[in-house]
Amino acid sequence: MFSRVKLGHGVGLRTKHYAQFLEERPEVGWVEAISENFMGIGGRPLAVLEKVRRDRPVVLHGVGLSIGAVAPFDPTYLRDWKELIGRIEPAMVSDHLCWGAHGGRYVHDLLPMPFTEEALEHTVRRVEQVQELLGRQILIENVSSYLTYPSSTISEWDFLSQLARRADCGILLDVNNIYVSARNHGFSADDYLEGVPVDRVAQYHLAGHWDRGDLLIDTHEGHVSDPVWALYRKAVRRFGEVPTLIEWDEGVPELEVLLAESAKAAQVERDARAEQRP
Amino acid sequence: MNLAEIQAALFSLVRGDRETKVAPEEVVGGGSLSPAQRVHVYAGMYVARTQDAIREDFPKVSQLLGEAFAPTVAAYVEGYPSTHFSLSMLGRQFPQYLRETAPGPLADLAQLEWMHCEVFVARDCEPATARALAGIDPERFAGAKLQFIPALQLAWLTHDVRALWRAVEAGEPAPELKPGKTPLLVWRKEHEVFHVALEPDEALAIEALQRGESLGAACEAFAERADPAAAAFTAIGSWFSESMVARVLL
Repeated sequence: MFSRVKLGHGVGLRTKHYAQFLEERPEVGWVEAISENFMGIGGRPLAVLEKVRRDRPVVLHGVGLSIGAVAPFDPTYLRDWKELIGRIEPAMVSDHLCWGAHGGRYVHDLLPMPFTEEALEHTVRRVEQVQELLGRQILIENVSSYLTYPSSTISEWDFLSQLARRADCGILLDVNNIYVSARNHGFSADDYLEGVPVDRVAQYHLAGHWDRGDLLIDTHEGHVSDPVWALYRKAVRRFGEVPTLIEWDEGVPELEVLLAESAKAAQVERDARAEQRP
Repeated sequence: MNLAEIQAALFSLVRGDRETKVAPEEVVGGGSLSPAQRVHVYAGMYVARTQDAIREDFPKVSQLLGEAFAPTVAAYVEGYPSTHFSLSMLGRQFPQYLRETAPGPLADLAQLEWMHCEVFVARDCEPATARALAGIDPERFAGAKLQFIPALQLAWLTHDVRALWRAVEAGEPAPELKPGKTPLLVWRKEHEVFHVALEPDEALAIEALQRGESLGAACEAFAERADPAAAAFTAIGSWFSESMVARVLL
């Protein structure tokens, strides 16, 4: 089982907004911090995160664990990550269902997994290894992808669901990523939502993407698109009230714009919940 | 293909490794886009991401390189693949690469920019105050050792690039720099990073202390000064007042 934490709606803590977070203490349910930006360091970034943490819950979200890689975990990564988690006491800890390291080298990307029994077995073991080390459950997020592997034998949502059950971890459901990958690979986003177990979903991500016609790219730039809002509404109806993050990492807007997008997510969630009531 | 083979092949394709013998269609499925086009999406993002990371950490060098920036970074990343999980560490060998391929002020400027990056996020440490020295028995003073804060780095550059730093910041033409060994000290006070050029003897004293030598031994570096003791005390005092010292060890 994965116990959900009730946090409401959050935004990412980005350098551009540091001063405003410290001086104005904006009304926001929680703040997401990218783990690697604060691991093994000191100085202003860590000082800001610690101050922000005093006011509100912080969620740590990683991009560099490379949970699906065949390459062994970097011991320095694990040490610094664990140290940061101990220091910040985040409400949730997450990373992506992906790989980005090989042979001691990194491409700093969220490369998709082949959805095979072998990859599933491997990733289950790795999630278990990490959770044992941290002494806590983590969330694994579905990524946007621009390629698939002919060797895949399982659907992405089945892979993610089996991973969550077998490794006993949570799912961070990125609604925008579902939409992007569904369009890119021609599967049904509704089937994806229906295929994910309700009791494992512990966080949503929403973001903007770029539609270049023949391909959708997950840019984390701009407003959440209408089809993604619609899919979010469906997700809320199926999974219920789950902490929701607006990701906006390119062309980062003024904090007010980001907070307005987060408020819109809260409104969409309320509307979706109201529609469910008899 | 098993998981390891898929990852080895795709990793190589995304990085654009020259020795790659695998074709995209052997690893990746097609559809509305060909396997090569799909791989190209990731390969293109890899190039953009590495360029952005280097530009962010070396804004002055990237400005001076102009149109040469993109090919320079591409060649750097090919020669020095990322071996750290954090993209923010991608540039750690960029100054070295520039030194190998284009030795001169630009490589020195890159080193100074990288020192700023590292010092900005170096681990925190409460600095010691000069009071830590006050209580020491004068007879034991020469045997004391100083430990500097983690957010302090010293490097001997081949040019004094401070004028170049200022010129780029002000948007002025790059000045002509004469070669000359220059010790530059970069450190963080509160959350702000500073750099200063040192007299060679002060730099040697700091290096001696960083090696774990005693104050007495380190201060021999000032022997050529008219008043070596006064020079040593002035330097030591400034290290404390600038929050550079972490602790005094007896």
